[in-house]
Amino acid sequence: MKILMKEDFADFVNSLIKDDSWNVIGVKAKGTKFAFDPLESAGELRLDYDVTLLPPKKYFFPQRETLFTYSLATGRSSRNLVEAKQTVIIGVHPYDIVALFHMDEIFRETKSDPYYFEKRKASIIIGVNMQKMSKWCFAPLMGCAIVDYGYDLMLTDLGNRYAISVGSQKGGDLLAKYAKNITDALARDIQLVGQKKRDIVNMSQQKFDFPPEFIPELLKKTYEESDFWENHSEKCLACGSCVLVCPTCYCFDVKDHADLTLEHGERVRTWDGCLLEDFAKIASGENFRPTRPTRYRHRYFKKGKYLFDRFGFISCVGCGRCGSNCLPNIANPVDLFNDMYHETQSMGLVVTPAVNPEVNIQTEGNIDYVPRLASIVKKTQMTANETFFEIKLDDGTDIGHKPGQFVEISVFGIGEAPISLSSPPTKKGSFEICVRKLGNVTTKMHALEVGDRVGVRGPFGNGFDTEALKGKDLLFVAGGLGIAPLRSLFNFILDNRKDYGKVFLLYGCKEPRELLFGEELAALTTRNDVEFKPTVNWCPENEIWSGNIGVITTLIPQVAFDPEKTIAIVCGPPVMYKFVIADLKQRKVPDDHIIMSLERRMKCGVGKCGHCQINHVYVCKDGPVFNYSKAKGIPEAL
Amino acid sequence: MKDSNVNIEVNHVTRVEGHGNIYVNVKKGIVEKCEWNVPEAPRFFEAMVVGRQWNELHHITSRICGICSIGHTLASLKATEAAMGISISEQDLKLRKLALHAENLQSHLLHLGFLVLPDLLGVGSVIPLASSNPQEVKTVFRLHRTANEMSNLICGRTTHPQRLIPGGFSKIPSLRELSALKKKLQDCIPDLQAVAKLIKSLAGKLPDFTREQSSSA
Amino acid sequence: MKPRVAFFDFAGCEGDQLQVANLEEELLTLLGQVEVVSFREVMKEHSDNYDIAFIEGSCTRIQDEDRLKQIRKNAKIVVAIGSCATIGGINSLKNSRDSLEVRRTVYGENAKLFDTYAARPIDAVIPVDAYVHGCPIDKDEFLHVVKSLLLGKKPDIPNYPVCVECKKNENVCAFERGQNCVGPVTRAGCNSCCVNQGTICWGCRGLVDNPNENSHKEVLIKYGLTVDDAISKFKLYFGWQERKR
Repeated sequence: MKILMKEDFADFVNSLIKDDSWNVIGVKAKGTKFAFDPLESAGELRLDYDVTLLPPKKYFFPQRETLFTYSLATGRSSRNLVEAKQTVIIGVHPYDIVALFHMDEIFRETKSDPYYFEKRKASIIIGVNMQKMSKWCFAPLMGCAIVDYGYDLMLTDLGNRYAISVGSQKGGDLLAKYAKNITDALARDIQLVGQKKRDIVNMSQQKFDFPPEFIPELLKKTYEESDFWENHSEKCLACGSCVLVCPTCYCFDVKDHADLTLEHGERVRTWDGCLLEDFAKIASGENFRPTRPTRYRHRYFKKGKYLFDRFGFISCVGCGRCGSNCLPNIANPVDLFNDMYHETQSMGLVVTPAVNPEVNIQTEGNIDYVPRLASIVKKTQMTANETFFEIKLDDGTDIGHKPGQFVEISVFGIGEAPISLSSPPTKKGSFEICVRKLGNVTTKMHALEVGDRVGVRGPFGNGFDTEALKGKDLLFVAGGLGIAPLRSLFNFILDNRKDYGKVFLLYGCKEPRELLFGEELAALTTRNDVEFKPTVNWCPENEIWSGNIGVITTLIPQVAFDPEKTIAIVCGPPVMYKFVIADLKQRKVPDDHIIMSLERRMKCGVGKCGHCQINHVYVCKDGPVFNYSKAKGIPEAL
Repeated sequence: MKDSNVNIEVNHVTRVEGHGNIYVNVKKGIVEKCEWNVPEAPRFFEAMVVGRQWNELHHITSRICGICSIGHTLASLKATEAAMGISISEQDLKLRKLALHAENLQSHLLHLGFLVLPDLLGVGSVIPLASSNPQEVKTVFRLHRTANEMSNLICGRTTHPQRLIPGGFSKIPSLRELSALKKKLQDCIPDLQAVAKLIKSLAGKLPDFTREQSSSA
Repeated sequence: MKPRVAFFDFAGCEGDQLQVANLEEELLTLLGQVEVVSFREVMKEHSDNYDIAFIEGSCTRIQDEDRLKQIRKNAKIVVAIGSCATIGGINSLKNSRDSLEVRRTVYGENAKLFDTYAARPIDAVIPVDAYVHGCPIDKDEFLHVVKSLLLGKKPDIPNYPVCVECKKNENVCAFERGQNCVGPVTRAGCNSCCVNQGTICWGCRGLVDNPNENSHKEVLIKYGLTVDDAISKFKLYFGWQERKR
């Protein structure tokens, strides 16, 4: 531990500010509050602050960030990954340091975010032990009031001097280069620092009525208590304040913008929040978390259960920003968890500490947000609203996908949309997608012609496990546009017909003119190794239809299949799943013989932006293919 | 003008701020009709403010006009402050005067550059001027933008300025920002002189507004 | 072929049209993408042949409805610009009072000469294809809507409250400064410009799609307003939108 007199510390900071190669950020007063802002002189520092308006994550994951720029005409893009200028951030409290550690884990899980880490790499964190604590702060209860990792230097105010713990080589070097008159800490100094840290731990005005280790189990036990969630969220303004000021929140949205000449565009990511009304809304207008209670509940579950299960930490550091920013005062986690605890007690439930999960965070390379260039080689209008495209990557390679995966298609200047791959991987040289005209991107796609450029990212998602299906009988149940992703598997099966048992395809649409892949499906009737049954809900007078009339479930009794040997593969509109699964189970199909492909609002495709989350799973990464035995345990899934 | 016939019927006078129709009928030198109509829909501001809070009035009356909203806001604030005995500091008074200057600068440039110059150069609007006289148009835009930057700095926004509140300002510019503004305005002088020179050179095209006879009392 | 655009105004202050003129040099770039065929404030020429009509101002008289309907007939796309056109604006302040009394307050015995009815946004009279909210409009948002129309996509107008932008801009909340604000129920998209300037959000962009009005009125009361004052705050810009509920 080192000691630096306060005057020498000020000189240290001022010499950093004078050195143009450093960005110097520190905590300054902002009105009656505090904020991290660029420092012009050491005198501006307010290291005695209680909490800043926004956490320092804004320097690594900014409110708005250009991912790349591109030419609208060609799609050719340049990554906006500028080498970050070295930045020193002075005055980070321990809870915010812990939060940065959480963010590091989140941003490197599976695929690493280069934009975040570029800035993280170039920064030095000078922490400071808390002197004041806001009345909302409960960091001590979360074990985040003091920290012994994650900082390059850690300051403790000892009156006329700072005690400085050196946490890294970088920190030690910085101190050595820019500070003068550094002395070693005396025994008394070390003792004082220890005392101050002990005092801080007792400073909180908030109190849990139960041990915080209970939190994941408390949540699990109250998921279904709709009255509890309705009462607590009744006043919610869906203003997003709680999540936008949170040091561990990382959900983001991605949008395309063009300049006024319509020649250049940029893809920009901005902070988003799951409390906002349209967070889980897709182009069709369906909103998977449409009510205040569902959104309100999701935030607590994400922090206290889902992230705990995935990473082994409760992703809340007790900074108190959410509670202090909520105007109707419903966002304080301490109040909520205390109420939750008393609720479980009144219900007579036993709550235990959560078992630490097995955590295995791997990083397999960087996320690439920049799409590869491709062109449309074939365009077929199938129905009034659906167009079939064959697309070829510019570099001639295959997309290299598994059946059931999806791609993110960019229409330059408009945006990016997730579309299921509709062709099997056995089709080489190009891939096929079926696009329904719904939102901006899909509508513009319909107006494109053969030869026009698009961008492609992916393939994403887990896809179907074709190995596990070998030797089994397969019962495909497709509703409406659900046939498009199933076709990637179905045609793969046909290309490898001898590896699989009996194959049934049940396909239903609202009316005859909405049927997709008409010619291909008609050809199935000439095969004797596939049983194909179509149906329509109804047939208008001016159309001809000789097949079954009725919803898709009316076809199930018409098929003779052995539930023990058969795997059902289901895909269709959200409303369809419950009914199909009920009928399949009536036919004694075991839960783990039912496989579904689910849709949500996929944006980043790599399990980071948060939009596609169903409870704890990311549809873009852990799905879109789900086994029903697992999905039935995911309340938001069906 | 004796014995002459005149028929003027202009519906929605163009290139003015505000709305008006002009009807003039003169038969054989006798004025039969001379009307200035205001076709604009009345909005009843005097009634709208009744019952509202003292600290809302300036916000409402600003909306009387988007072009001179700084003027309307300041007039309203003067009335509110007089009624409630609120005094403002000398610094705020000076800043308010700067705000008025910014508004006048912007408005005069709009008038000269966008509304009058096309007439003097014989075209229907500033739009064809952008191709025929690009230098002059760019100069007008540059000056107009500086005037707007001035009111943005002093009052937050040219149209419906947020910073002007009862008792003074919700936010004031820093010394550094004001110094930069001063330099910017000083740097504008050559451009302003160029515009003045241009208008003067075209002054001959302005109609002769002198009357034949003075009106009787 | 550049799309032909026209500007019209009804009962308003012309501030939104001025904002278009305030585009400065960007106006020239804009003119590279569209052909302006009618803009009374700025040009002499007028044509009834236009693709996109930008309309400022509310409809406050029955006789103005015909003019609106004619514009709708002539245009392929109608865009309402400014609060008066999108939500009724400040004009709707008079709606909660008796019409004759309002006219008498201003014009005395001549009250009957001045025709008026409840001030309303233009979509109360004709279908509207796009909205540029705000009093006045934000220049960048206006350009965003224009670019979206040129690119054939639906403009991206937020459906979340101004608080989102205030928090991103790291503002000290108006309520923390002893003031009161309707940001929590007002549609964002202005980048919290008024709070950035040290004041409050007045609600000029209108309510979000599903505002929690009761909750916010309770918040206003909790922070010191009387019930009447809280209700009155909602009348400033939300007069027409609230009447529909």
